[in-house]
Amino acid sequence: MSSPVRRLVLALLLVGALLGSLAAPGHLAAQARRGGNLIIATRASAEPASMDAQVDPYAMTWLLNSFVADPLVALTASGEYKPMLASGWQISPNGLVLTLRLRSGVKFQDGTPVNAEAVKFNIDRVMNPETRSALMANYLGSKNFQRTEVINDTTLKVYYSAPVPSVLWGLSILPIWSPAAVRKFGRDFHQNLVGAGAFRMAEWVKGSHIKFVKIPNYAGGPPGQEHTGPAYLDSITVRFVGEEGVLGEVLRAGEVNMVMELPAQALGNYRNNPNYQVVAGYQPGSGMQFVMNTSRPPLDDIRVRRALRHAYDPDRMNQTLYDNNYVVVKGPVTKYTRCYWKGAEEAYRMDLDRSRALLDEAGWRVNARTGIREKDGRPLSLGIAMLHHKELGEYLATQFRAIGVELRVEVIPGPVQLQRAASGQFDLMYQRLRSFEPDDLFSLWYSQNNYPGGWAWSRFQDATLDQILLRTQFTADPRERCRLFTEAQKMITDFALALPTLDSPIYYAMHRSVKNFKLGAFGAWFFVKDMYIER
Amino acid sequence: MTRYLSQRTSAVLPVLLLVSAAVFAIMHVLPGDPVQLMLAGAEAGQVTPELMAQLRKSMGLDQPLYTQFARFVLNALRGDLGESIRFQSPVSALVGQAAVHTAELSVAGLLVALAIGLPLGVVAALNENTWVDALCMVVALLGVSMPLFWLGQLLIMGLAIHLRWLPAISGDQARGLILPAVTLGFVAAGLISRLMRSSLSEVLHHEYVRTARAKGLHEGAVVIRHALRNALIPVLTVVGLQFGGMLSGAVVTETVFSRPGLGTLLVKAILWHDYPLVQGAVLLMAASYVLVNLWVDVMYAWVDPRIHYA
Repeated sequence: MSSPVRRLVLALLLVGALLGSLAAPGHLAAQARRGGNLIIATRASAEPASMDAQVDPYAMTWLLNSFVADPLVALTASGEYKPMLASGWQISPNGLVLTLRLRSGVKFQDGTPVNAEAVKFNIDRVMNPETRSALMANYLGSKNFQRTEVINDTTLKVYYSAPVPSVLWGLSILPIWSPAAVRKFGRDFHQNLVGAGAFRMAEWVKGSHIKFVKIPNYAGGPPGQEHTGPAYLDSITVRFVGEEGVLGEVLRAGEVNMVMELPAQALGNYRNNPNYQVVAGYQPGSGMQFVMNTSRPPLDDIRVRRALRHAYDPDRMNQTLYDNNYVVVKGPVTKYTRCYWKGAEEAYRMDLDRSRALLDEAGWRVNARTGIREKDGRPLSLGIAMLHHKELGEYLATQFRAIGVELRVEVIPGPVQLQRAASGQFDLMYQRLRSFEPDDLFSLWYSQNNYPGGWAWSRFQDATLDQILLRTQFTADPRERCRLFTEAQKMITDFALALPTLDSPIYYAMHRSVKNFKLGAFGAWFFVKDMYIER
Repeated sequence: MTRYLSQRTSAVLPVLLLVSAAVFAIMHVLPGDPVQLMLAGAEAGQVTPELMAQLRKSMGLDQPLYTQFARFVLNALRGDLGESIRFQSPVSALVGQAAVHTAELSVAGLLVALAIGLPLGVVAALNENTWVDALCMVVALLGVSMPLFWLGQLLIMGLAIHLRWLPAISGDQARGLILPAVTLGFVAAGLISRLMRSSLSEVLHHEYVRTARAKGLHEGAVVIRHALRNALIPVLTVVGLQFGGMLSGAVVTETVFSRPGLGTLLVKAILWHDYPLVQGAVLLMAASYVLVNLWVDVMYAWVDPRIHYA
């Protein structure tokens, strides 16, 4: 071939190749580079004891289950409930019948169908006391549950004796398991999960890691993911790290692509570093609060309780202790909680003169020698018990000293906390509940929930507050429920039943090659199916 | 020998029974309700008294303590350690899986301890009262006095985070065993080397060693063939005890290096008041300790045939 002809042929080939590459669908080219093995490090104490969220009451289990099992209802990042395995649902006007309609043709990872029988099996399993389901049974309304009924292959009805406002929240975290697999593996099922999700659980080495591997023929789509079809990632490995200091460093060391619950003191390693991205996941719920025991002096006196509320400023606390990396909480719930009442932010401004006046009014006089207030010869000395974040107690102790109140800070283990709360042997007790719906307010402040295992530790009783909180549990209308919860927040704040402080966000740090990370509606949740590692 | 062995073996069961009784008593004296912890944890949500009572009954926790203990002992004799309250899996399976990882770490740690401790002690003894001896003993002192968790974190920071030679979180990888084994082994090596030095130093002054040298034997042969074998006897006892100590050291090492094992399992079980799991794990650790000591006693006779048992 002569030289000009060869050059012409080469030029034509080059142009052809260029045109060919331009003609190829952009998304195919993009997808070709999407994939990778995501390795997430998180704290060892977050490792589930059981990998079955129908049993285990922890958010980490819910999250990991979402890799393996799609729920009936998806809670989107914006906090809306959208159909997922269910094609729709209907709650009867009286709130007593929930009708679920299912998508047809969906199969579990073992090939068995996701039908009404399978969903009935799952709901009945949660409600069965032998399953030992704790929180999930509550969310799905076990107290008012009557029965499930299969109408046809894709329709199911759940009957209740009273409305269950938390049922959609429950359905959004309820993993739907293959009944055949549950029967096959029995008590070992939690180590052999089979759902209808985008990943299968490939390995669980307890105390070390859990590995999930992509299901290639997964055919899911929105709202669980933005694209349709299998997840982009080839695998996800969750590594459990025992030492907080090590957890803060493993990403820098290149051993993992992402850290969940990065310790706040390690934020400096990754913030403002172009190789990493840091995302904060904010939590609904009570935040870290100190419940006041209103059943014994001196906190049975509302003037003393209000004096304490005026004696510190959570904003300054955040600045001093955590360089503003925590969330300030000034009311019974964090601002990321549904039905949040903004008025709580203005209710108790820091005002030491007002605190002192309230204590004077309550009969507590300063002993000039000790600087601590006294009444009938007894000093105004309070104990504050906490599980962690001791510095919060120490900060409050310093602040309260200025108004003549002594605060004794004590760090106690979880079992001791629960025992003291049950027996009422405390003044101020650390407490934090987390859930997407504001029903924690009922758990914490409805006076009848003061029993061993209950959470109404303040021992405060007020008929009106109780009535309002009780109504939230039987009201199906979301707007009316919100109105009631707002009313309850006003009363709880006014009665000064707790010292709200701060809340620790869940910090996610990841290498810049980790793409499409998207947080859920609450901080402990994220969506994995669109994620990939850029190669 | 056979009589001695049978006597020692027959003592194993009462020892284990006593250990179980002590652990059972301690766990029940500690505050906390396993059912409450299992259902609600510290920050989860609402549980009902009915559900708690139902669970307590289904787990047999409503029975009197002596009934619960007797049931545990009888089942344990049949090889059934019960079911973990928190993990809802058979204790024997959980403990068995974890024990494999801990045994792996303990053996690796012991090998490191021997590899560092014995040569260090020998070199120190052969250069008694010189700067070499002093240097070896400073290293030994570091090993004896250094807290495990501190050494572990130091190694992680230096070798894993900054130099990136080895993984910081070892998991169950073979390569990840190096740093935990060095951490565990270095601490034990301190004691072994000090004992090796004093024992060998003493033996080297014995007359039979002087005789061997007078016969014109090579110094290496004198030390290795004549002195070392006798000097090893007290070291062997300490090695046995150190292996037992490594089981407890594994609790810290496993946590620092995020390794699975009996240590991390036991810590979780204690925090969750998981009575059957705590008892099962402690029983296995106690049995290992007793068996290792038995093995050391048997090894005595092998190393030094002059030792006889009444």
